[in-house]
Amino acid sequence: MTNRMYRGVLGALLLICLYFDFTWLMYGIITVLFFEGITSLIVPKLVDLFGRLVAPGSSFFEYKPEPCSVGSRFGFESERCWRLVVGSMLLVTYYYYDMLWFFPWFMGFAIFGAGLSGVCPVLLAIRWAGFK
Amino acid sequence: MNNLSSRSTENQKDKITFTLPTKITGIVFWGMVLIGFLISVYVLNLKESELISNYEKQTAALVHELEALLDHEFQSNIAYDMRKVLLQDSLWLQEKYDIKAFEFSFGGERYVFGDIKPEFRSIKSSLHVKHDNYLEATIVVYMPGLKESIADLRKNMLLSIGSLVLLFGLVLQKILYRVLSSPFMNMVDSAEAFIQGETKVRFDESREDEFGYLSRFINRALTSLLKHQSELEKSKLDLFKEKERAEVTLYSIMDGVITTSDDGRIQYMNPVAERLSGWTNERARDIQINKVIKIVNEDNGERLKNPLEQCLEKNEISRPEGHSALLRADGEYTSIEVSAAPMRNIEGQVIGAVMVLQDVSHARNLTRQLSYQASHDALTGLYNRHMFEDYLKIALVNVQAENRHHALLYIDLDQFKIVNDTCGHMAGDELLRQLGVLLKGSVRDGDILARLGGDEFGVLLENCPVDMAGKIADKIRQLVKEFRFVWQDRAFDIGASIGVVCINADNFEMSNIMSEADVACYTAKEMGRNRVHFYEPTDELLAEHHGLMHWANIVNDAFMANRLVLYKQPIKSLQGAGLERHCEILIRMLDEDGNIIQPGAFIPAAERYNLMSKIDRWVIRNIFTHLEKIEQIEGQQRIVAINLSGATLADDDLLDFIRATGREFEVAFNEICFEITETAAIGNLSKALYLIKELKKEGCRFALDDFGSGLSSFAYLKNLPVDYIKIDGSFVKDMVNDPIDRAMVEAITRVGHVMKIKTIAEWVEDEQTLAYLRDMGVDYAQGYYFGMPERVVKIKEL
Repeated sequence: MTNRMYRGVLGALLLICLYFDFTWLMYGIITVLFFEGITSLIVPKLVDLFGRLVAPGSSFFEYKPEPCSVGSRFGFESERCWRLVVGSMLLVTYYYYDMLWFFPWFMGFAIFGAGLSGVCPVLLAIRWAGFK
Repeated sequence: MNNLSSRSTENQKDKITFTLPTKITGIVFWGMVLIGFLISVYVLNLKESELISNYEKQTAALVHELEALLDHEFQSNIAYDMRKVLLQDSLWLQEKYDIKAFEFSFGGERYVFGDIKPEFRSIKSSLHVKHDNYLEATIVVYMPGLKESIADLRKNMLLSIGSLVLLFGLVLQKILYRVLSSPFMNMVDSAEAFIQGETKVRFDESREDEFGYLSRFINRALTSLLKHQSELEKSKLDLFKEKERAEVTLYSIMDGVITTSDDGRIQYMNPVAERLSGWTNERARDIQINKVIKIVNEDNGERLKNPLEQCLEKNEISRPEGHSALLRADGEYTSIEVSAAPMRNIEGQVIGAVMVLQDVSHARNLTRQLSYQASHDALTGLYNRHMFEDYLKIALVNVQAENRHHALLYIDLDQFKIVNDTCGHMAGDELLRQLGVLLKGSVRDGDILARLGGDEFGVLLENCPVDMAGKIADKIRQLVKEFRFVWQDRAFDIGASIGVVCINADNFEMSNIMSEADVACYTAKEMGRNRVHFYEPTDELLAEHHGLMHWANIVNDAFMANRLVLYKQPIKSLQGAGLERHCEILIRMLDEDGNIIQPGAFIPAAERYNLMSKIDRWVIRNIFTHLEKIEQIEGQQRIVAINLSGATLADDDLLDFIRATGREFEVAFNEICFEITETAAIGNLSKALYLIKELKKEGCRFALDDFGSGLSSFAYLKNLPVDYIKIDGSFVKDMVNDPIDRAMVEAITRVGHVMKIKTIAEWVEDEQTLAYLRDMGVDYAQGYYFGMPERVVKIKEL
């Protein structure tokens, strides 16, 4: 599983949560994002581990990380940073949904679009900032 | 897309992280998402206002319809039940106007229809109800909550816009891939194939868009590039061949070649340079030239500045002056010619220099040898006449300016001819060699001693006063006198006649000095030999000798001006007809006025100054040329006698000359008789014998002229295979009155007849002499009695 695929799935889940008002699922997603960011146990890796258990040799589950930026200023991984940023923004905007209602929607579509296009501006910005 | 992103290249730099369609799609997508949301926010705000307005309109419409409904019911049934009416119509009214609930208050009564929830938005309005009379009623309409409506609206709108944007993004990405990425990657494939060496690959020009235009442009560039590459390859090949040729040439040429960088460090040495310098190419590489090639002046051994360094300093061709030599690594010297020239690149900048070393040892040795031979006498090792005159010229330069006094000694050996004649030339040469050594030891250091020719020596005494010159001359004379030359058990005493000339401010003309020295020496000989004679202009003897020199000049001038003429004098047979017709060719000279000069006046000068050989050759050539004009009578043998001098006999090339000239003019050699004098034959006996022998093979005849005048005539006669003896005229002239002369003539005639040699009597001037001669048996006679000499042919006709 690639991070791109992960972002597609995550975006879709966010849109579902927002459309059907699945508040508990939204908070669950935010929790998972923080978990990934803090522990580095990101879902693609876990899927890869899972895939190795259930379908060894299958390329579908295989985690293919993108190459790290050479000469980065910080040792912190950009993907982990991305999850923390996205989790934080979701938490804040969803908590103040009445006032910042469009942000979660925007993020949902943006993350889903990043999954489809393979271009995530936030991730690019994080890497540009110096995360590896 | 996957194709695009997974395309691997050898270099990580070549990897496309984000394709152009992805970027464009991403930008468009993100832009549209943002714009979509902004539109959504704006539209939702409008929708909220519109919703509130709709609520109010709906409420107003509801009130109006209720009024109408209740009024209609009241008119049809005065006693109608309002509550019942409202209950009957509340449901469809709720549905029609999308009302969640409404509350109707009338006359203290209050009717509620639907479930009222706190989040519902309420709109209160009053209406007039006809019931008995018109009464005021109040209605509160409960509409759905604004928040809920807006939320629903948001969801639907965002989902629609988001879906549209996503769909648009995907479609855009696909389109962009087809119009951008696909042709782009085709171009990449073509480029990669071209890089791999498929030079026939070309970009797709069929497209009408920018890619097609770019492909056409690149294809033209590729064609041009390939053409240039082909030309470049050809140039490289040519250059390589040229380089190889140049290297082979450098390797093969006989000159040493060294190339250096622009700071004088050696880059290359060819094998000859290696041999000359004693360094190998590898060892000398990057070493400064002056540490490897050390050049010195060959004449004085002084170290010279390396021409290559000079060449690099001045940026021009450099070659040292004078003779250079190379000091080899082993300490040996090699004579070289060296030059250095700068090497420039195409911009004209100096990029190094090339030095050429030519081993000229052999040539320089030859030059030295030639120079030595040109300035020295091969026999004695002394300076030759040419060098002596050069030194004399140098000495004369400062005579007048610095008032110096020099002296010139002209030495002529007295008895040399005897040694030469009796013991041969080897003895003569040996005598000259020994005397050379002797003379060298008798002069001062710095004096110039030279062999001037034959048995003549010259000494130039620089800065030498007259008395000192006299002492040195006398010392030389004494040494030569005391010298005893021994050759094969025979001993000879040699003498020297020395002429001395003083060179001072009054006498410093080169031609005069040499002439005066010769005259002085000649005078010393004339005065009895073995003496020193100082030149005196008033000396009568010298004046006479000057006469000879004067005649020599006249002869030379006449020779140059073709003023020599040939005469013939008949030689008559005394023993009856049938014998050959003889004549002797005689030479005369015309002066500038055309007067005839007799040979007695100019022949001695010609003999003295070595002109006879030239004159004799002239005579031979002209006789051979005009032989048919001389004594040519049908049916009678003709003999033409030509005189040869002693100097001509000594001429080594005379035989070849006679043969060649005779063949040139198809001369019958049996008609030619050469007359040689007894003294000339004896003086050059070996050469005379050889000449007679060889020319007799051709058919020539020989006559021994002036026979009897010498001391040992009969002794030599045995050895000389001549055909005729010409009895000296001094015996014939007075033989009528002088019995001794008559006896001499008779004796000669008898001897000649015994030896089968015919005799010719000269100077026959009268009938009585002729009668005696005939009686004695002399074969031929010659003289004025038979006729005066006649001119053969005018010189201008020759």
